[in-house]
Amino acid sequence: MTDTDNKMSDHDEALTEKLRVMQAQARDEAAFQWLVQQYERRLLYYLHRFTRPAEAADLLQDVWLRVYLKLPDLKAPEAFRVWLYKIAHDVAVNQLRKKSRREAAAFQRVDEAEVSAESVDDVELLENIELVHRALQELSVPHREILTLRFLEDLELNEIAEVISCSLGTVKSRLHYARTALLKIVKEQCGE
Amino acid sequence: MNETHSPAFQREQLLAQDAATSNFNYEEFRMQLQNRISHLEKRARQLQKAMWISAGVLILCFPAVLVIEGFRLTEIPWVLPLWSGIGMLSLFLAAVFSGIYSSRYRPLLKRAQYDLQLSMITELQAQVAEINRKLAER
Repeated sequence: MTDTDNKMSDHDEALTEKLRVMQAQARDEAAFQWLVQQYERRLLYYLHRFTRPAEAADLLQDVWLRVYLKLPDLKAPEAFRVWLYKIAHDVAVNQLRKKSRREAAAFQRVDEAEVSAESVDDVELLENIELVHRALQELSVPHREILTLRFLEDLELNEIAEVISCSLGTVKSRLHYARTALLKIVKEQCGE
Repeated sequence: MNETHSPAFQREQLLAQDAATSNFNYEEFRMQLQNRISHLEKRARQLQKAMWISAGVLILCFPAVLVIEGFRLTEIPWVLPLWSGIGMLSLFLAAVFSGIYSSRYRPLLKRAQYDLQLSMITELQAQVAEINRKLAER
């Protein structure tokens, strides 16, 4: 597959999604179901990075209910993905806050000082997906979240900033430290 | 681009690693979601109905003054307190119901932008057809 084909396909997919979002905004049930099917697995994976599987399933219901309620108010249908993850982020963080203040505080705290700064390549990191998946569990929740958004959804930095309600500088820094921490764990798991 | 390095391929690989994500019963999840949405819509409609009934009762309280005056019902001691009580209660309920409805349910039944969206959807469909035609030509 060539780059042009990929771009064409991405454009086509984006257009189809925009169309479905607009139909869902007009309360087309089939279009809403299509959106649910497109994102349910990815959202569930994302929510698992915050909480246990049983709770993640409940959170997934809450996320989609909130999406259904607020969808007609979405001004830019092309920004649906970012908007969806922002809702998922808010629902997950609220759940953490409800559970206990300690867990919420842990979410805010990012142990970036413990991680040394070194340059890391995404492709190199993702070569062994199984290791990456296991290593993600070892990271702090904010690091887990930012890497999931980057690698699972391939979101741009400014989009991630919008999802987690942080500045672009914070996202860049957090992503850098998260990648470095991930690489460190992956290397340890490899026995290097 | 190598297909094994494409974001979509890597995404699928990552999702496949998570047993909880892979083994989740999505069919049941969708059914439950649909039920909750139906329940939510039902509640929204009930609330909307209650809001209109409260507002209607409040509006009826104004011409009721003429009836009370016309039939000299003010001489009956409980008529005026009852009238004002109904008026205050319906005002209060209409305010509460419309507050809840606006904050929570209004977008659920919103149809105002439907026509505009429909024209945009038609335009998008034409664009998708054009892209598909171009792809078929290649």
